[in-house]
Amino acid sequence: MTIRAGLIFLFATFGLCHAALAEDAPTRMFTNNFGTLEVPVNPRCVVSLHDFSVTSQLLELGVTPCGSAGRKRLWADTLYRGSSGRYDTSAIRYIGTHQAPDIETIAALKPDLILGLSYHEPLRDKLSLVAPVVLLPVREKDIRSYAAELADLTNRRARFEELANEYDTLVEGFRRRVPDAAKITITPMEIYRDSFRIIGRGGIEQVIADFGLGHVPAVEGSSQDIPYSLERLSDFDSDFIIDTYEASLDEEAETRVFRTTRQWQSLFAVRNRQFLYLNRSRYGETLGGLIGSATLLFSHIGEREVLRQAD
Amino acid sequence: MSGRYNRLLLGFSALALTGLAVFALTLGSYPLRMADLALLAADDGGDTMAASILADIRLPRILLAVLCGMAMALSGVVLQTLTRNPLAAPGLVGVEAGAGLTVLVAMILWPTGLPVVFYPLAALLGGVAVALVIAGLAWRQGISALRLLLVGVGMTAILAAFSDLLITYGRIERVESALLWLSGSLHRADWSQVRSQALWLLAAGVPVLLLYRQFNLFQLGEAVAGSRGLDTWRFQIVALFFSVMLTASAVANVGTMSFVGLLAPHAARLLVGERQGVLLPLAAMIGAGIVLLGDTVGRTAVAPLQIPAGMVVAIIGAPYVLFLLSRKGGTT
Repeated sequence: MTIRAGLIFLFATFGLCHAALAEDAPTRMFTNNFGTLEVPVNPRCVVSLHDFSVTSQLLELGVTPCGSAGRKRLWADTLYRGSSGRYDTSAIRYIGTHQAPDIETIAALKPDLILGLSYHEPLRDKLSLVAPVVLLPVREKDIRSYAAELADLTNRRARFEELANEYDTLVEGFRRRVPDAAKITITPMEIYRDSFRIIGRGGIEQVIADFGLGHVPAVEGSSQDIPYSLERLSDFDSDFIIDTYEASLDEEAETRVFRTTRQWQSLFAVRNRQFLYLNRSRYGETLGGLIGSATLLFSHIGEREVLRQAD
Repeated sequence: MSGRYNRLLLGFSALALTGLAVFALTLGSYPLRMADLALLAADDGGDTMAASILADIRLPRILLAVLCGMAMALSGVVLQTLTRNPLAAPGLVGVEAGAGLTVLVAMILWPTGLPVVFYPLAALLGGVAVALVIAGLAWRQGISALRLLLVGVGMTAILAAFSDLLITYGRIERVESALLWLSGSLHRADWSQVRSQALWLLAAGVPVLLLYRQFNLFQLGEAVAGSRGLDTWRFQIVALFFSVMLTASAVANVGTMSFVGLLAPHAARLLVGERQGVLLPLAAMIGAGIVLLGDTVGRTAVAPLQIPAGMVVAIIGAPYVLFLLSRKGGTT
């Protein structure tokens, strides 16, 4: 059995190499911090292994992936976070979850490019049997950097520049309008039934940094991985507090009890109506997400009278 | 039961397992029919992607399911014989939890530090460490079966708490990966894992099969076994070590599937009784069949959504354990 398997593997490898050489599709070398590999110049069928971070960015750039990971509930339509409801996703084939994509479904699509994140490294060898696999530094670099790589890979640099310029214009506008932004403190958090994390979505942390807004000391020393108890809530009290929700889940109802607690009600931002509750799927980890988050913060902070704890 | 019946049963089981494996080869999201398999086996050119799917995706996954199922089942038989308790299994005596916690630490806290190929070794260290602690605490002039189980249950609870701690405070993408592995998944199966599992099975599974006479003697009681020349103390330590090796390697490769070590020995016992010479290989084949069936259903039933094999096995296994318990309750 092992000898037969070895032979099949050899023939398959030979066959794949032969097929790759036989095709006329032009290729080029692509390098990022996960390595160098040969990719098609104009990819025909791109498979995305992450809906929220990659699929939505592809759609923003004008590329509809032929397959994508997503969230699937039985007897319900597939949800591509950050894309469903905003773009036409009917042509995208569901390939399974982002943690365990179905390699056979991907192979059946006959893609010429597969895009994943760094934690897809263990699957890279197997997926490389199907098509070149590029891992993007979504967790390792900022949104703009990985979006630039994605635009380069899909030949959509012009669209990327448009989006990047729009974002830069927003940032410049905010900095002109709010010159003392560092004196305004803001805390992005995610609230659960009985705890909360200090974490921003849709690039909100990057927008906060680019706008030059400030943080209370507790935020600087916090970790995204730690669910904090209600007792620590006052440590993170700021001029503004941001939480996000996923519209397809009933998160607002789940956390209603949390919001009725005295600790929550006594926060400066809550007392002064400077608590922002944003839809995190509307603005994903993309350039469009950055623009959306920047527009929201510009409006809520730069275009209204702001109350500050320090005043 | 006659030797002929046993040989027929073993032959039939091997045939059924082979048939199931070949059938599983034809199932998957990539369209492949039985005729395609024949063409590919004959190297009739054609679809190279199909050949690759077969040789690099399905075949290693199926073989890994078979090898891990065998390892878990053999480990279960050994533990049940050593403790003389039909409800003993690697998942209940802490060994699986020890091996699992070690791999969890590697996956969540040290993801780039330890190559995947060393996971079985790390799991073995964790499993052996826990087994030594449990054996030490259960020791009363020999390993007390009841104490072994009770200490094992306590140790499992402690280790589960540490696992929960890692899962609660770990980085989300690593935790998601770990949770998938914890629920018993073969979606990352490759040839290196098949080779690794085969070696562990050779190193620990084959000796267990060869020790069937000693297991038969041990079942008669320590006094009788001792009077027949069996060094029961040494035998228990060696058998326990083999059991830990089998569990640790399977856990490292496919995660935790507690029910296999419980289900397979019982199913085999229903067919051949307590004769270890037949019970051990039959349990191994049934264990292989359970994991293979669980994985095949998991990867095809609602494809492309992949249900971890461990979940499918648990859905089948839990009612069976309840059935066993109800039968046991009715007879006492």
